[in-house]
Order: sequence, then C-alpha cells, then structure tokens
Amino acid sequence: MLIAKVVGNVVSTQKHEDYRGHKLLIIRQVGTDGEFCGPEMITVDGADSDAGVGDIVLVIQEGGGARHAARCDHPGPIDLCVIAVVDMINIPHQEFIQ
Amino acid sequence: MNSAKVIGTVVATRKDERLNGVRLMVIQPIDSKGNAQGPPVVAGDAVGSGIGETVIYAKSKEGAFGLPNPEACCDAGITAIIDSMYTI
Repeated sequence: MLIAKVVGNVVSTQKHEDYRGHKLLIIRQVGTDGEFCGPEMITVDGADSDAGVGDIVLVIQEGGGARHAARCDHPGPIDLCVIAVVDMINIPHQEFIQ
Repeated sequence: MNSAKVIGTVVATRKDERLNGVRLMVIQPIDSKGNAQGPPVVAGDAVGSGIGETVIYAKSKEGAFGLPNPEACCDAGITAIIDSMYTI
C-alpha cells in the first residue's frame, strides 16, 4: 500500500456507475518524512474510511484489492482505493530508511 | 486513476476485433493545476468525452472494465468527465 496525503477532491456528474456513492479524492504519495514523492493520482474512498482533504491515508493500488475495498463485487474501473486513515506512523530506527 | 485532458482521437481500421466500437482518444495526463504528467497516451472512452475535456482514466486491466466490452485489450479507459477539482 502507499502512504499518501489527500490534497484535494474531484466533482464529476458524468461518470461510470461504479463511482457513484464514492468520494473522488486527489492524493499524492508521501515519504516517511512527510515530503511528497509522487505524482497526483485520483482515488475513490473506501467504504469504511472517511478520508478528507489534508488526511494521511493508506491507498491500495492493485486493481483487485481496490475493487474489493470499494465494495465493487464485479469487474469495474477502480484501480486505487483508500483503505485507512493514518493516525500515526512509528519508525524507531531512522537509519533503516534509505 | 489519474486526471487527463482529451487532446485528440485515433482512427484505426485494422485492429484487434475486440476494439470494434471502442472510441480511442488521445489523452495528456495532467495534475490538478493542468501541468503535464508524462507523455500522451491513448485510452478507450466509456462516458462519451470530447476533445478539450478534463477526464479521469483508469489504468491497467481496470481501464478495460469500464468499456462496453470488458474483454477489450485496453490498458487505459476514460471513466469520468471532471466538472471541477479543488486542491489545498
């Protein structure tokens, strides 16, 4: 999974029906130091996590898992999904980070 | 998924038969500010987007799942037309 920050959201009325009922969030991957280290991507929010702009989240980026997390029980166009809102990341030995 | 701007269309008569009936659009991946994020790619269209519109596209096999024929050999599919984007 990716550690990412929610940096915005998307409003779309004309969209695939699998996106209905989900928030479309703009995220960017962050490193363990909190710095951005990836391009902007768009994800749906998971059924259980209520992520908002500014939250640090865990994002699953494999299609099958993303559809499962988004409670999409048939093949649908979802390849990213938020599965958790991070409260804290604890890495006691900073030297392990390359 | 990613956001992109539709910049053109592709016409191909000799192609995989499962691509019949799929509108092929040339899209330029962009971020929420409109800056390009990588080279243009071609994506199948599932929501009737037009040139100049900002869209969302799904990558890999999920891109094909949005198309009328989910078995189409397509690794990018336009799945939504963006009305507005807000970022902090």
